Amino acid sequence: MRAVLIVLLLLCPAWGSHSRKEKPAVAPPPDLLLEGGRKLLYQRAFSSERDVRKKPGFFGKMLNIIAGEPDMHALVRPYSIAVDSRGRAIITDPGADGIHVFDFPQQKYKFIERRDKGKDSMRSPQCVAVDAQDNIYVTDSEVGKLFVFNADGKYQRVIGSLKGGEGYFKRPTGIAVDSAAKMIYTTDTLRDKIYVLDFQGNVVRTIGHRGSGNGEFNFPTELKLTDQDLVVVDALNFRVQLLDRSGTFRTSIGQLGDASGTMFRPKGVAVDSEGHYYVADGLWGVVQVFDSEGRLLYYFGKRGTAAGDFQLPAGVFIDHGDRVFVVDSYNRRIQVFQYVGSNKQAGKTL
Amino acid sequence: MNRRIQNLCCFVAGVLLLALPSAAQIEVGDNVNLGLAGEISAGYTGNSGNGSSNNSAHSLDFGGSGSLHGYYYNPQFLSFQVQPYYNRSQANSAFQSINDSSGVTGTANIFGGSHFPGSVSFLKNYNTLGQFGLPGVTGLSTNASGKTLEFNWAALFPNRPTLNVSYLLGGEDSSVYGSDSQTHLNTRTLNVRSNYLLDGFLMDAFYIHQSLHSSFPSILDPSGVLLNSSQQQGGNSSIGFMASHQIPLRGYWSANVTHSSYDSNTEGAGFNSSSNGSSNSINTTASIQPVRNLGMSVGATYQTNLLGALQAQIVQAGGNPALVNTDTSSKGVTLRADTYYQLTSYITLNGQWNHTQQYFAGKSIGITQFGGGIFTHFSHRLLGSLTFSVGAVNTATQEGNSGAGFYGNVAFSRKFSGWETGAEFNYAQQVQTLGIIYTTSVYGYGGTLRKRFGDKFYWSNSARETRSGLAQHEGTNSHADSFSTTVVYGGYSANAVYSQSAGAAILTSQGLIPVPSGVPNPLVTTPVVYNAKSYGGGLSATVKRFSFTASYAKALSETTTTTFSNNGTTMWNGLFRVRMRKLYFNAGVTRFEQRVGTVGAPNSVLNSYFVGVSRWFNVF
Repeated sequence: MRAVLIVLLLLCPAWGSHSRKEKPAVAPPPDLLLEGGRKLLYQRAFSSERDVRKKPGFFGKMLNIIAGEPDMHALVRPYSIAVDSRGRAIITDPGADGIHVFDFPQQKYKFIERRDKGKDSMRSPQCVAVDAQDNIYVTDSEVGKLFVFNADGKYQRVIGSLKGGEGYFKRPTGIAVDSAAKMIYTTDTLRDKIYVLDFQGNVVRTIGHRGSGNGEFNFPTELKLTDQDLVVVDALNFRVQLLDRSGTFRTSIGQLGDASGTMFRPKGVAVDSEGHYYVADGLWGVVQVFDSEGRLLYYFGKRGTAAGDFQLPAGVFIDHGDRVFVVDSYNRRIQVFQYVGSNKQAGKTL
Repeated sequence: MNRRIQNLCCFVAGVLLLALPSAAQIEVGDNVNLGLAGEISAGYTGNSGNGSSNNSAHSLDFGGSGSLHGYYYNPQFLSFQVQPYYNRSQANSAFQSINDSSGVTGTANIFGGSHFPGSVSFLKNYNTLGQFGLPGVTGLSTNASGKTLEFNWAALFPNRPTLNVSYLLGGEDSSVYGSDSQTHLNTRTLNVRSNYLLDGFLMDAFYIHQSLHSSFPSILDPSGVLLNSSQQQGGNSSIGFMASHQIPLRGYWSANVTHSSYDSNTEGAGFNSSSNGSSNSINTTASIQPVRNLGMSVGATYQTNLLGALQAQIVQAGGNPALVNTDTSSKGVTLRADTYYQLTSYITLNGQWNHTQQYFAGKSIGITQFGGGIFTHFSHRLLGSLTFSVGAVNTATQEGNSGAGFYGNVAFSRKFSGWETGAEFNYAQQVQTLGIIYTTSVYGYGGTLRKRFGDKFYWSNSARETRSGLAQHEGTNSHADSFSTTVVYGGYSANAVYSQSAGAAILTSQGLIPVPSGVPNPLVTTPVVYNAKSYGGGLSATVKRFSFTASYAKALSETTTTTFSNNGTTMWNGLFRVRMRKLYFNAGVTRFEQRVGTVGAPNSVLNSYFVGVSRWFNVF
C-alpha cells in the first residue's frame, strides 16, 4: 500500500505538468503577394530540439510521465545558418558555444561542441558553410580559427591554429566554400580582408583592404558564393559588394540610411534562384530584397516577437527550393519562408 | 510518537501543496501568478549504531522538498515563497543521511514599491544536523530543532524621516551527539532605526533591545558545578543618536551618543550570579583636507562605566559575565589627533597622538600615545603589486614610559610563469583597548598559490596563521592556523583542509566563541581554554550522467574549565548518483562517530546507508 502511494506521489506532478505545456497557437503572417504572381509564404519557425524530434509513442509518453521529458537543446543566441544537401539546417550559436544540426527529414537533432579541448577548443562559433560533401566549416571569431567537421558532426581539423595555440585570424566571421575549386573564403573583419585558402589551410591570396572605395572594406562580415559572384556584407560601409572570384569589384547594393532600400546594420545575405539578394538589417528588423542592379524589390518583417517579426535578424540562407531561412537571433528562433517565383509552385515544407 | 505525527502532518501538507495547485492554478484568476517546483524521493534506508535512539533499523522511506512562489497583482504588492521539506538533510543535500530533517520556510513581502514596505518570514525545522561551535575548527555535531519568526516594516517618505522596524523571535533546542545534555536558546530582538537629512545634517537614531533565555550544555564540564546545565536569562539594550555634516576645507564632522545597558542572571547547580549595568558614550570627530595631499582629523570620546561596557560585550556574545557590576562611577576621556601627508603618488606619511584619562575606583590614570608611520603602494607590470606600511607608537603613563609598540602591514601579489602568488603579513603591538591598563598585540600572515595548467587542470592553495592576546594577562593568547588545497581536473576534484586553533573562549548555548578582543579573562565566568584541530578531504567526480562524492572529516578538541574534556568527531560520507532525465538514482553511505567528555568515554556511532530514487519537477 505504501509503495503504491509512493509511486502515485512520484507520478502525479508529472501528469499535472505534462498537460499544461501546450504551446499557444501562433497566427502566421499573411502571404506576401508580389508582382508577376510571385509570392512569399510564411512556413514555420523552430527554436529547439523539441521541434525536430518525432512525437513520442505510447511507451515514450509513459517514459516521459515517469522520468520526465528529456533535456532539449534550444537556440540561445543563434547567428548564422546553412542548409546542406540532405536538407539539414546547421546553425551556429555563440550563446551556446556550439552548432545545432536540425535534421528535419530524418527527425533527428545533433549538437556539435568542442569544449575543454585544450588549445583547439571552440568558444564562439560565428558563421557556417558546407561543401559538396556536406562537411561543415565554422569560423570562431574569439579564438581566430576555422573548424571543420564531417557530415556526421565529427571533428576533422582546425585551420589557422598557430604553434602555441593562437589563432592566425584576428576575427574571422563570414565563410564560404567553393567545392569545385577546393577553396575556402573567409572574412577577417578586424583586418578588413577576405582570405582565400586551399583545403589544407594555406593562404592562396587575400582580397581587399580597408577603405570605402570599390573593392575596399570597412569591417566585412558575412560572405556568400553564387555561381559567379562573391557576395560580401561590407558592414560599416553599409553595403553589400559583389566581386568576382578573383576579387574584382562588379557592383554594390545599398547605402547608409534609414529609409527603405538603405542599410543601417546589414547582417546576413543570401541569393535566391532568380538572383535576388536578401539582406537582413539587424536594427530595423527586416529582410530587404534587391535585384542585381541594387533596386529594392520588396521587404518583409518588422521589429517584434510575432510570427514573421524579427528582433536582431542575423544570418540568412536560401536553399535550392527557394526556402528562405532567417536567423531571428534575439527571438531565439529560425523563421522559414517559401519564395514562389513566377510560374512556380510552392516547394516542400520542413 | 508526537514527533512522528508532526512529521506526517508536515509531509501531507507538503504533498497537498505540491500536487494540488496544478488544478488550482487554472482557477486563480488573472491577478495571481504562481510557480511550483520540487523533488520527491523514495528509497530503502538502513542504519545501525549504539545510541539509545539509533538502534538498528531499516525501512522503505520517502521524502521530498518543494518551492511554491508567486505574487498577487504585482510582485511589489504581495509576493511570497514557501519551501517545505520532509526527510531531507538540508545541510548537505544528502537526503536520508544521519538526520532526516523536516521543516518549512516561508517569506511574504507586501507593499514593496510603496511608502510602507513590509515582510514576514518564518522558519521551522525538526531534526536538523547542527553544530556546537568551536573557534576556528569544525564543531561538534548536534541534532537540533528550531523556529524563527521575523517581521520587518518601514515608513519611507521623501524628505521626511524614515522609520525601519524589525522584530525577531527565535528559538532552538539541540543536543550534542554522544551526550545526554540539552541546550536551549530563545531570543527576541527589536530593532528600530530612523534617519533624516535636514539642511545638510545627516541624522540617524536607533534603539535595539535583545533578550535571551538560554541553557548551557554540561558536555565540557561533565563533573563540574559552574557550567553544569546552568541557565541564563538576560538582555541588553542600546539607544543612540548620530549626526554628521560637511564642514569647510573638504571636511567632515560627525558625532554620536549611545546609551547601553545589560542584565544577566545565571543559575546553575550550586551557584547563582547576576550582573547588570549601563554605560554611556559620546564620540565626535572632525576631519579636513586643506590641500590635496594633506589631511588632518581630531576627535574626542567620553565613556562611562568602563567595566560595564566590557561586560556588555560578553552578554551580547551570549556568554556569562563574571562581575556583579555595581560600580558605575568609572569613566574615561580620550582625545586624539592624526594627520597624513601624501609625499608621492605611492608614499604616504602619517602621524597620530592620543591621550586617555580614566577614573576608576577613586584613582585617575592617564596614558599618552604618539607615533608615526609610512605607507607605500607599488604596482608594476613585471614586479607585481606590493603594499607596505610600517609605524611605531610610544606609550607613556604618569608612572613613566611603558615602551614602544610597532605596527606593520605587507601585502604582495605577483604572477610567476602562470603561478599566481599572494602573501600578506600584519603585526600590531600594544594596541590600546577600552581598559586603559590593557593593550593587545596581534600578528598574522598568510599566502595563496594558484596555477592553471591548460583548460582543465587547476590547483589552488592557501595558508594562514594569526596570533593575538592581551599583553598584560597570561592565558589570553589565542591562535588559529589553517591550510587548504584544491585540485580540479575537468569534472574531477579533490580537496584537503587542515585547521588548528587554541585560546580562551566563552561558553554559549550555541558553542564556544572567542573572548572578544580587549576583554580580559577575569570578566568571564569560567572561561573555557580550548585546543582544537580538524582535518579532512573530499573527492568528487562528475562524468556525464554520473556523479560521485566522498568526504572525510575529523575534528579533535580538548577543553579545560574546572575539569578536562576530550572530544572527537569523525564523519565519512559517500554519495553516488545517476541522472536519467528528471529521475535520480541515488545510493549513499555514512559513518559517524562522536565522543564527548572524559577521556575514554564511549563513542556515539551511527552507520547509515540508503538506495533510492528521486524525481524533480516543475509543475508550473
